[in-house]
Amino acid sequence: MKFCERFFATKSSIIHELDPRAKLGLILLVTMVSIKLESFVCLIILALVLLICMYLAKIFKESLCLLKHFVVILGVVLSVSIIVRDINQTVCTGSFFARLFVMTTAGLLLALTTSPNDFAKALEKMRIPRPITFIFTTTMRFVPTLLKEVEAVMDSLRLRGLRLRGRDILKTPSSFYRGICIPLTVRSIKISDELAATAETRGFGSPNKRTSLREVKFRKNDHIFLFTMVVLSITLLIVDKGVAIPW
Amino acid sequence: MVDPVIVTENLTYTYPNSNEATLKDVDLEVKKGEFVLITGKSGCGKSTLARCMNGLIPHLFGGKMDGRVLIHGKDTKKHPTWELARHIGLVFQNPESQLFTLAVEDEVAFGPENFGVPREDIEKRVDWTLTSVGMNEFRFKPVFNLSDGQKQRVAIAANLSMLPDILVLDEPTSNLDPKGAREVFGVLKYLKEEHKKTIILIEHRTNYAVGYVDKVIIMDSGEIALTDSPGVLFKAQLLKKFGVRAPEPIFLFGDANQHVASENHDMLKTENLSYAYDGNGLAIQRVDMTIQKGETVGIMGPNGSGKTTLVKHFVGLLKPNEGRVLVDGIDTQKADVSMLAEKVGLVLQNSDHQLFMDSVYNEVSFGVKNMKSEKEIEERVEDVLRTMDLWRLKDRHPHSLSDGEKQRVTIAAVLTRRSDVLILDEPTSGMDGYHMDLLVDKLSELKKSGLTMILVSHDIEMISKLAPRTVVMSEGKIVNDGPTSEIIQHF
Repeated sequence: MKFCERFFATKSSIIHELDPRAKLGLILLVTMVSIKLESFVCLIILALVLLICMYLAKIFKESLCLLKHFVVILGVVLSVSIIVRDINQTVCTGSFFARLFVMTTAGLLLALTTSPNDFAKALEKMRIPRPITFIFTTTMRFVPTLLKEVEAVMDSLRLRGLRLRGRDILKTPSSFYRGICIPLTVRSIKISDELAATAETRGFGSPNKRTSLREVKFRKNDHIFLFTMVVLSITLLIVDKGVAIPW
Repeated sequence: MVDPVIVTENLTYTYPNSNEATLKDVDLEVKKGEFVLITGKSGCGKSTLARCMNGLIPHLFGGKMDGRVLIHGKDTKKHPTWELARHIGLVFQNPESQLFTLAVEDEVAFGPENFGVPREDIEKRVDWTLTSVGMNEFRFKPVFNLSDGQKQRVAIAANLSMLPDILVLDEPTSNLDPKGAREVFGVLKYLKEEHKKTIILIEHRTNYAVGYVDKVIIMDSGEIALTDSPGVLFKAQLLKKFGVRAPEPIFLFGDANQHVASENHDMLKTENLSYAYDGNGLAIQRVDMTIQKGETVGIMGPNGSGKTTLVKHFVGLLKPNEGRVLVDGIDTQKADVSMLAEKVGLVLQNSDHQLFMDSVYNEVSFGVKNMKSEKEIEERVEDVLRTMDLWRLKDRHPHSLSDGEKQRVTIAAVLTRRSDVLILDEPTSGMDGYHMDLLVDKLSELKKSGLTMILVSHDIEMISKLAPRTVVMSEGKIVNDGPTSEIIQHF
């Protein structure tokens, strides 16, 4: 539950207030630039800039909780490469992980600072059909509910003396199907039926052009943010190509 | 002469894949500004009638509908549900499955946004509706952090923001504790008195409604059996006939006190028990209690007071952070759930989570198969099925049963294991008077057999009929523990 709540942005910061499309643009930009960059140092600079953005967004702590696993894996792989004294492999692995780190950080910047509702509104502005964006927000809303349902089903099974762990699913798939799939399917169908009925009674399906209480709009800050990131990316690309940094 | 805003004429409806009509020739008129209570036994057609009023039937549910329903003169068959939503709002029983968005403000704005209302007007409507239901301070909060009572108030606001004249509420307080229920009724009173809204309330629990409603409709087997003034709710014989719960709980302490607990046999014991869920404050703190073998104890308290957290410790689903829990002398820290489940059976609130076999017989016999001989199992299962009045349903799929029958199956599944203790979590939630009496009868029989029972509930009447002792919890602590007859004076 706690894990899910991280994604339902409730904080407020200069990054939270950016248009989700600006943050989507950042992901695209960072992905392209990180693939193009060859220098490990340039990749690290890019990662540092994104970490500063995270700091500004007040999501440093939550992000580190998620990114720490990533850093541990990187540490293990680099250690092995250094132990076997394969410098090329070390550089390659380091760059690969640095790229992945940069892309993940940009993704987290979007996920942890954008409410699913704003994201859906941004998608609608990008001409994604309303039924699709509605499914997206509703799914996000019901992730915590479904986790609660799973927890309740697992508790019920334990009370009947049946404990299903990962390996039990492979060993006794019929127990998994009966014990978890059936109750969860029944509950999910019931909830989706109720949801469909509620949606109808709230005017979903009305042919009127939908309006929005909080409109998602590209503002001055979005332009400044994207412009800064583009300038930084171009600078890094020039440095990467022009300056002979050995890594 | 006030014109009726809701009219049903010879309304008969049959659900798809069903041979029997759920509504039969229902004729009804509700005038503007009226507050109407519709009650009756489970399955009598109350919710179906509500769905007809909103056009969900026939537009969403399909089926065969004869007769007609007029909302402000509009035939629901000829107008889609979204169009009727401007006139009539519907609040469902489960607060969890009627909120779509993540923030309170977004939820309330959802309806007007769908109708293309200009932003400035939506802003005004959100302000007004959240103020009306007393939720303005939660405007920017995430919905999943709200209590059930608060969620239900948000659901009411989300309907009101479409400015309907009529509000239909289908068992809106079934999942709420008394405080949450009072909050909802406070809002309904305000809407009726200040905004002259027409309110149709479908409820089993008549105790809150009795002070507010203008008219009572009792339904039975798909028909309107009675339309009368609220005074009808005090005619005990009539209510019993239609399986409706009385507004004043019927306390039967005499019967409950006949029970005798075994002396000096501590079946369940907690010592300085404290527990906190990950990253949150203490859910229960320093709880000391002892339940003797053969005793029946009620546990009451508001939602979130730690009742369910406490009983989950008795089956080992939760392990104490501090202190210890003893089940018949066994420290639960040293025993796993399957071992404790042999001694303590816990029936959770929602039966759907607990049923997974393909027949009632297999469901009830599940878990005893590896322990006894086949013949002994058969005898035991038959005995339990007959006790719980389920023998005739033994070949049915558990999920095809009614809610009351499902609940009896989950209790039977526990009884087959011959547990020494039976714990029921909110067994009468959303239950009508007829089915509550049936359940009380069954539990009384079990009580006489010497079973130790814990009843976790908001239902004062049910607890008074079964439990001579009641423990009251609040904010994770036991705040009162004593004879039910005395505890009830405080409610």
